[in-house]
Amino acid sequence: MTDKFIFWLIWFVISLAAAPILPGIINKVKAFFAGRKGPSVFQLYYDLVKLLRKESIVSTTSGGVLFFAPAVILATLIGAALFLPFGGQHSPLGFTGDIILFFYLLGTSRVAMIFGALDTGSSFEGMGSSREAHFAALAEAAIFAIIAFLVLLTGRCGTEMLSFTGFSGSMYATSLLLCAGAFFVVLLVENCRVPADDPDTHLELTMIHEAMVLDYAGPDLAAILYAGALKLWLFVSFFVMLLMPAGEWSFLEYSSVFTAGIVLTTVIVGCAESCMARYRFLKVPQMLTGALCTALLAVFFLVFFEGVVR
Amino acid sequence: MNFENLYAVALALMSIGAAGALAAGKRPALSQAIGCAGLISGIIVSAISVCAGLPDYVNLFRIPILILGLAGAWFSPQYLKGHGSQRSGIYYFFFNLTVAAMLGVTIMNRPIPFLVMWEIMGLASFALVAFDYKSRQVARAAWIYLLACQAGGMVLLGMFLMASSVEAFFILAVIGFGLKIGFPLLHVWLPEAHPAAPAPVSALMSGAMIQLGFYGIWRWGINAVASYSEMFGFTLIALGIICCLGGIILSFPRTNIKTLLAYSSIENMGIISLGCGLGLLGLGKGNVTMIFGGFTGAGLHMLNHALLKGGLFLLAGSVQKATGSLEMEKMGGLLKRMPVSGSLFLLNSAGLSGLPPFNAFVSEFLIYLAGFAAFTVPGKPLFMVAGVAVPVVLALTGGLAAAAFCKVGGAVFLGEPRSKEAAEAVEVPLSMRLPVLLLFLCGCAVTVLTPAAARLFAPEEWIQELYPAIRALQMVAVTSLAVTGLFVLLVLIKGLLPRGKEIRRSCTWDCGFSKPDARMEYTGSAFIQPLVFFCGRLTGARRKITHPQGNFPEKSSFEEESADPGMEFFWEKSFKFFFRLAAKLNFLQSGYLHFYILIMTAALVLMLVWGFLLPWAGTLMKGGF
Amino acid sequence: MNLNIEIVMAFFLLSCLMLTACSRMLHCIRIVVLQGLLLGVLPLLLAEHIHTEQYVAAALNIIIKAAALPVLLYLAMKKADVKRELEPLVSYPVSLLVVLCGIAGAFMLSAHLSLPESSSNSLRLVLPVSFSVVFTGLFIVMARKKAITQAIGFLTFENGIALFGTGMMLECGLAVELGILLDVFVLVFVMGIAVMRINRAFEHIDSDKLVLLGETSGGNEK
Repeated sequence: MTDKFIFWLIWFVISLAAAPILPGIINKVKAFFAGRKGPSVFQLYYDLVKLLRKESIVSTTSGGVLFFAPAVILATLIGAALFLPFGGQHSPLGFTGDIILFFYLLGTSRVAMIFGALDTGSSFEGMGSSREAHFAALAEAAIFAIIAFLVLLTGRCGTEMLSFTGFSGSMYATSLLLCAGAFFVVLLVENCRVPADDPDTHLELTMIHEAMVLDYAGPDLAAILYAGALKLWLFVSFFVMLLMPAGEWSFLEYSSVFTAGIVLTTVIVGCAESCMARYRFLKVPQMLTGALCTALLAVFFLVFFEGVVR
Repeated sequence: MNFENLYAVALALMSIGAAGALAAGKRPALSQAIGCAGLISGIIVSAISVCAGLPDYVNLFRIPILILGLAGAWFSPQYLKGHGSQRSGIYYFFFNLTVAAMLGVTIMNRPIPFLVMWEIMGLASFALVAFDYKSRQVARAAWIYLLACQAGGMVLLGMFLMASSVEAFFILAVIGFGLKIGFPLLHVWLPEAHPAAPAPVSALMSGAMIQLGFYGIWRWGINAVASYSEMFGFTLIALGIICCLGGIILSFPRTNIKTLLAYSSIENMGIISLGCGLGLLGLGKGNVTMIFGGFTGAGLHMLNHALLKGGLFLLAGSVQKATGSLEMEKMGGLLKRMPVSGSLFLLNSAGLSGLPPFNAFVSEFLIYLAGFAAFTVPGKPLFMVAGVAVPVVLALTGGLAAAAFCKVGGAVFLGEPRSKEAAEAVEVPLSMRLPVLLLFLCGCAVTVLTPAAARLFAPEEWIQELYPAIRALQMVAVTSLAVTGLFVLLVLIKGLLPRGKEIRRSCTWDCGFSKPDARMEYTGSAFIQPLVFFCGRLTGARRKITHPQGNFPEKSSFEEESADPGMEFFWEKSFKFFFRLAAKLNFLQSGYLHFYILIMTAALVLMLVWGFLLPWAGTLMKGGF
Repeated sequence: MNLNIEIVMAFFLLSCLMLTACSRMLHCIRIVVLQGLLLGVLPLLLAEHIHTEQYVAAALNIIIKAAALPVLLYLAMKKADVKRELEPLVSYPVSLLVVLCGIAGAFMLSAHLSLPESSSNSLRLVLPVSFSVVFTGLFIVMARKKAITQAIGFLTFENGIALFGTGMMLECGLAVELGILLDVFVLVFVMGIAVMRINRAFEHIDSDKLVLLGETSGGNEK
């Protein structure tokens, strides 16, 4: 019990600490594709330290949401992180149905961000938040179709289900692949990566996430940037846990495989970002509907082909 | 002592208050005092009775009535000041009567008294909806509401008198009570009546009255006949799915705050219906998690919806008071001017989107659990369909509701004011803020107290099997507190940073424009436009565009209007059809008294013949009473 | 063995979804190529012992469906100079949901069909997928305006039938298959010519505007 708890705790702490590396890796991959050297993998850390030493700037239009939103966003994301089965161990706080709470906490952070953006009265931020609200609603549906699939597959409905999936046998491989594909699409949309949103764009009209955080500065911006990295880490870990085979792992084995998985997934995201163009905004809902359909397809496969009828 | 008898005392107190208020109608202040005194004393008496008999599901319906009645009584005096306070007598007469009748509906155990109470409830609330009867729009809304009430009453009468089988009972109950709930196509009165009624009345109606329909379906459609089939559960789930998605999608293009809230009520009734349906399915299969999750989730969602939506309607009243309008495109920036009301509105709307750490998450969580539990029922493909459909629909609804509420919250309270009225708005008086705060705090209490209450409500023999669900509720409560604590901690930590306490004020960055003003802001309609576009004609939005033409275009215009598709494509068309049909019967109106008497006699004879020829009708009547 | 077939089936269903969601015709044609390749691989996977017959079937499928017909479509597309289906009769997200419902229906239908005792496990996999592909093809024909997209729909429809034939491993499967293939070949051929003609005459290839031909006074206000 204590051992397991310590494993979990170690990985939880690593997650909080290492999250800012992921955007660094993506940027490095993009720089490689562009033939540049690119900033250091640790660039975000330097940025965070710099920003934390500055003062906040708050818009005169703001009614106060702008001041509190970063704290809400960060608090809910850290709260959500508490429930993932890090280190292959069930979270000590885990319970039946905690996966619902996990995704709903992410929802809270999103609403806080939207309110914060609208609080500035800026037309760009309104634009970004409007798109965010639209895409998030559809992404939510896809996510819960994926969860329904996982519940059906594992017979459990907490995040501990993630330790029971993966390619241990070839039995459920196809449906799991479909499910993972759907989740990857959601990962890209939720974390504002290409092809749903372009984090590097220079035109506010085409931004989603970046447009929503235009008016944060200093420690507030640091919180927002860190929260973005943490969210990416949570989704990527979820993805890796989904595909990692179930079974008894020693801590060392698990750690190395998990780390490799995280890096690999991030590199794939980076490659996708380098090779693809951003879709038109009209296409993104279509992509999300596609993800929903794929997840439901996985359910069909599971029920009709792989005979999981409980 | 039998606490049930206390309800009679409560009803009597409320009625005395009502009569007193009417009698003192000439002196508004006095009638206000009498009305409030009667109402509040009645509420306190019945609250004692509710506490005494707590682990009874009926109380889940009574608590919203009491809380919203109290909040309404507290809120009304200030709200009425300025418009219609000289008619306080009439207002309190009907308000007391409505609350008393709603309470009566939950108490009466026999069909006829129940129906009487149901009718009083409908008529008294009709009078309240028509309170501002001079406005054309209000008159139309009240008329539609009256029609809906009376049609519902007729169907219910038919149910009690004539339904001969379990299925017929259920179907008639779904239609009759569904008219109150706002099931698809039966919902058309809701978005008309809620904006027309005074704010405390809309809060009471939306928060407590419409969900009495579920009480009716459960008490009279299912419990009274003590039999049900699986189809009932699936019917409720299907209706719930349409209600959820339809309600929230229809709310998108609305720009009147209260109309939007009314549509969101339909959505929430859909969620409750999903819970009830899952619970019924669970009952059929003896699946404890489904029963508990479904019914407790539905019941709890009623309470949560009452607290949150009641608060939102009251706040809409405050906004109306402060700016003189309900049109959200004319507002903006009210959070700065009304900090307490504004922040309560934002918190309530996040809560109603089902987000943690607020209370509505707890009830949606239970319904999710019930949905996922449907997978564990062996050999039932339809259960599996329900198990996939319910979570996906709930999640989609949650996301869409969040978008709709971000629209209202953003358009009304955030950004810069878009009109003079909004710019000059001031915070409403304390007695209009405190009731809302009370509702919100009750909501917070629900999150924390649910685990304990769940133990109270769950039967002894289930505790073992329900352990995971109850532990989940505890953990949800703990996490909610933890996240809130973490939020406070983070705000404090920010203060400890080297320059964390320094805040520089500067104007919003707007790509080089030196003076961003309100006209450059994103409006509510603009915010929701992508979703309206995505949902297409489902929203009922229609646009008229005149494109600029020629080299020197002179005029171009853009107009968007939205009507309720149910009203437009179903009711108006069918009413037109019936009018045409009725016109053909015009010859009956001949003007001769003899002829009229002939018709009446003929009708009487026909009814007698029917009564004798179909003796079963007679026996059923006897059995029914 | 079963896993391979399952993956092929998964790709088939995914190709259906992609086809309904795809507005760019070049992509649609690529998806058709993918379907042709999958169809080509399938006989090799299904058969217990691979004979010449399977090789022939595979080669034919690949040559005709993954090469010849797509090239024809591509040429027609080039000639007509259309790249996208911009305003489909049914919008893309709705199309996706409709096709998904169709797939669900196909799965349920085939679960209720009583198959012959001798039917192998793999048949149970192929049957619902072939129904789904047929449905998708028909749906695309109904819901899209451009003649080329409709031809793609027909081709998909044919792929579904071919899938069914391959899956059933009918005695005379190849013969039936060849017959249908000929039909489709002619169809695409004719369509290709027709598209060019229509295009030349009307400067567009929206088949729904052919309605106007029936009216004496051509309503050109669209």
